[in-house]
Amino acid sequence: MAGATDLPPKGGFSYDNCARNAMLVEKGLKMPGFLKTGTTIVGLVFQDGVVLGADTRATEGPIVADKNCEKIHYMAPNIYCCGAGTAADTEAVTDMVSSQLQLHRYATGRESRVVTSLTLLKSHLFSYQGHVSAALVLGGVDVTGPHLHTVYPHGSTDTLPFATMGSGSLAAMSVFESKYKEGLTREEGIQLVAEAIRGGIFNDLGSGSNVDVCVITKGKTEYLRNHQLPNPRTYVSSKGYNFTKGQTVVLSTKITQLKPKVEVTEGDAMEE
Amino acid sequence: MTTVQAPRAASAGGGGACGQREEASSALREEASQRRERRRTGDDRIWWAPAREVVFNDQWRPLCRTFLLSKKPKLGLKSPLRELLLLRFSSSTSNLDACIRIRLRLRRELAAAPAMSIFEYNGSAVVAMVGKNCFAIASDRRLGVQLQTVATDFQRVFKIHDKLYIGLSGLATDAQTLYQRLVFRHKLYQLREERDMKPQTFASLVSALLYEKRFGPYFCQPVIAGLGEDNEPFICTMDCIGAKELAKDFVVSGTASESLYGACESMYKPNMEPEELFETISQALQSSVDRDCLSGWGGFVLLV
Repeated sequence: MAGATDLPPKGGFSYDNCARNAMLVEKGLKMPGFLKTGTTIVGLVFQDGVVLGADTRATEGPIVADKNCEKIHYMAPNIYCCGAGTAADTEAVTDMVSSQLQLHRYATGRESRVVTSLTLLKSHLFSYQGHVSAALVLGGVDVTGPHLHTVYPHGSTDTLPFATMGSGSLAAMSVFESKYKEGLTREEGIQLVAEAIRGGIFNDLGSGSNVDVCVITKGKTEYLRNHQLPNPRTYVSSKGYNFTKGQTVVLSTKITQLKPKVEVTEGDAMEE
Repeated sequence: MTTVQAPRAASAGGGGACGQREEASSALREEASQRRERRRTGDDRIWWAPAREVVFNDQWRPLCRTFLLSKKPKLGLKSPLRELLLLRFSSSTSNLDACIRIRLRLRRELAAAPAMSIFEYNGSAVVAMVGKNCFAIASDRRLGVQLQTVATDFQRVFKIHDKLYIGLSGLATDAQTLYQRLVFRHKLYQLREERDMKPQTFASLVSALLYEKRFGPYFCQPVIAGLGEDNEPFICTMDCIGAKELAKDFVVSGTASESLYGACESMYKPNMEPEELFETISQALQSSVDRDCLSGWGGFVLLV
């Protein structure tokens, strides 16, 4: 019985529950759905950098689980990554690679390159044969210039001037295909990305809420969280519901005083 | 089941608890033989009476009483009381035993039942809300086996430390296993760092534990609520493989989550004072739970 009583694990997946869960499925129980990002994520290369964009809806089946989640993940100061697919997978994969990049920077003392993160991502995803379902748009600027890549869950990658991923990728791609041109300015780039994301938000049911944008140029990264809010909440009443005290029937109440923590200071012992 | 008992057993002293357990199991054996005898002689008048004496812990009483009040208790293998006894005793002796018993039960039922989600096996509703320098976490108290209620004082909200709580919805057996592992990890952290975990740190720990089991998950959706530095409230929920979802207002999980979303969405206001927060979360929980067959039987609200 590994796992349950182990000290902090060394990493990697644990398959302890698999046999049990397989038995449950065999007996006719449905496996649960995971939190999906549902998602429209896009990226494009403009004249002096890369713009990434994402919507902010997380879904769990037909339910909107989070109306304002973050899908543009940090990889390195000069590299960001949009994630679509199973939320836990995109989160875990990008976190893992970003920590590997950080260690690599400590070891080499140089800025991370986009290809490094691309290779780390694809080799991890390929080794899990698509079971780690993360579809990514990776963008960044390094010594060799701006780069934009897409990574598929099975580990294949593309290098493109403009890219879309997720369930709203078709809607977003139609915007890019009709309006993208080489040598866009920064403002044009942000506008086009926002328009593509809005295309996904309004035409794809898996995407919704707000527009997040991230602009990466040489030596500068701007994360524009909630760059546009095309779906503001209009239905909430100004006063809201008011409940007078004591409306809820209470069986019993227990009040526990929280003790203040005692600080132990080691004064003289350290100096000697 | 062991987890809920743990603090009581500890306060009673290690040796005492052990003795109690032996006493209880011998009582159970005796009860079983008496029952066989009665069944043989056809005397079923006081079938359930000895069950009361099997009580070896205060926490037993409300459980048993609930069922003794129900219409006609049968002590056949399918009766809820009998099942409960089995689970209770097995869990206090060994985890493996409990697993086998739950598995047997699952097997029996699944042979007949149509496809359903494993999250719906026990039924649950957990919700957390943020107020002004405070937070509240609430859950229902039902433990069911599909549509049948097994216990009405089931605890789904657990304390990690004074200012940090976790509510675990989903499959009860996994909720308890997970809780034990989390407490273990938190205690290690306390020993090593000589301080309590920040809620954010704890959320990452839960997420890591869940994601470790990415391909064989625990069927649990945790809700974490706590006060961080400067008593800043923090709430967060996850899916069963650890995808964190941070929120500034409220988070929900469990079989009643759909109705909870609706209720909280309309009832929640920012910056509520503790008293108002309590009323709001209680009303939201109660109204949602009333629209869900699988959760209910009162609620448990914790306000910090």
